[in-house]
Amino acid sequence: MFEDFTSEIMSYPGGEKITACMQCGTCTGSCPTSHAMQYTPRKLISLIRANQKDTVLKSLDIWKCASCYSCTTRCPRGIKFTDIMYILKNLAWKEQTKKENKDITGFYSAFQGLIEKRGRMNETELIMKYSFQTNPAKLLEFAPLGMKMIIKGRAAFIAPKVRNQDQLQKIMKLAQERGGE
Amino acid sequence: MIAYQYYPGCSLHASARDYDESVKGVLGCLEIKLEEVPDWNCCGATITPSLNQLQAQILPARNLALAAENKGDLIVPCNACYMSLKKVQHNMVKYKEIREGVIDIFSQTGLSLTGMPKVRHLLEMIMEDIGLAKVKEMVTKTLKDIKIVSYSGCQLVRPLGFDDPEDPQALDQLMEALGAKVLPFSQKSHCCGSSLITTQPELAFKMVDSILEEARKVGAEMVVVTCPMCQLNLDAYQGQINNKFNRTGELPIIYFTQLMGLAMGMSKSQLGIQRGIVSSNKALEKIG
Repeated sequence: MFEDFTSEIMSYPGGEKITACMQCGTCTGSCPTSHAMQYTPRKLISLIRANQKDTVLKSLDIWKCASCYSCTTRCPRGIKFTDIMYILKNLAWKEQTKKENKDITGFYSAFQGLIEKRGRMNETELIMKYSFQTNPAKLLEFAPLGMKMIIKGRAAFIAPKVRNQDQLQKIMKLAQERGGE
Repeated sequence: MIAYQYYPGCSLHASARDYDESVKGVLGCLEIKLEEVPDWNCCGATITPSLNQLQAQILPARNLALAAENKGDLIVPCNACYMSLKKVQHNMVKYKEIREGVIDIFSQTGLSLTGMPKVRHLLEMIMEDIGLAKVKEMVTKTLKDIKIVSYSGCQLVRPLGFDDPEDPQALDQLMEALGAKVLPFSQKSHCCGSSLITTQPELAFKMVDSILEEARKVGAEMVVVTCPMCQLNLDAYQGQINNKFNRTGELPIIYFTQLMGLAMGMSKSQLGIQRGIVSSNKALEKIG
């Protein structure tokens, strides 16, 4: 369907300008988590342009983006690298290269599951679901903080939800199907 | 009476209840009417866009469809919700496939996106519609040079925000108008780590520590925030982070609306100030 990985990235909203990269490294220098990456933003762009799809999508570095948009704001070539990170994560999620680290992906699936079902987020439930999906012992780690939040009246015990759950579930399903085309 | 529509977002009904309380208190004092968008849903934050781009448009777009065309701008107190809502509007204009995808899905479910309201952060609305002159007029109890750093975070100012993305000014100006002493701070729009605090705490802890450490070094008594995620990361995790990096000195993390309310004569409890994990009592002593 795509000639190569670069063309694929360019076909998605936000990926258009990737070939304008001149490897200046402003993105990497601006990124608050690049210090912990094997493949920094600048290197990821280089790998994409070398069509190293597997290496890029299997790298856990793409899950280290905090969506702070510093790279996007500063890129002198107008590349929206935060959006490219989202594209990469979407592809990695779809292509099942996501099982590398449950601590990371378990959170995304727990969050997404709650939203698709009820439409609103409940942080208490999110943490419980995340812990059960990854390692129930995590509950012990979260417990002291959870207790403080409860004492301060900052935890909700009744799961919030939208009234029109049918509508919400339907639009999410339609978007899922369409995205899979 | 000026009226606006209000999209609180999920946090303001739970972990950021104090923000919600202070928003309503302050806007009530300013005689501004807020009408909550009926049946709003989660904006998807940074999670849904990581998994499915079209779903990431659909979630904020449903809120825009449920908001009314003629009931005033849509006011958003959370940086992440603000960015998600603005971004879908931006994407619908810029990308045909997104526009068509959203419209097609909505047409099958009775939702319509004609006449979307303008999306604005609460701080943006206060600065532009109310203005500093009016804010100063409302101050009955000046903040008496309490030393603060203002921390705007990322998504209020990037990539579609209303203030300077590198050195935002609005929050500084508002705090000065209340009588606070605003200290120079280089990390105003640095990132708090957002949801990495749960998935990869080793990364987010370092980010939060860097922000808190500079705030302590410049002599801040409080950090003022505009976002429930920043507040949670800097406040609720502060104990763990200070332990990890061997830091001493607790810093209260307070919403700008809470300080506005105090300066306008409201009580701490009306503004949810007692809900901070790090207590603000000592820092607020001199205000009385």
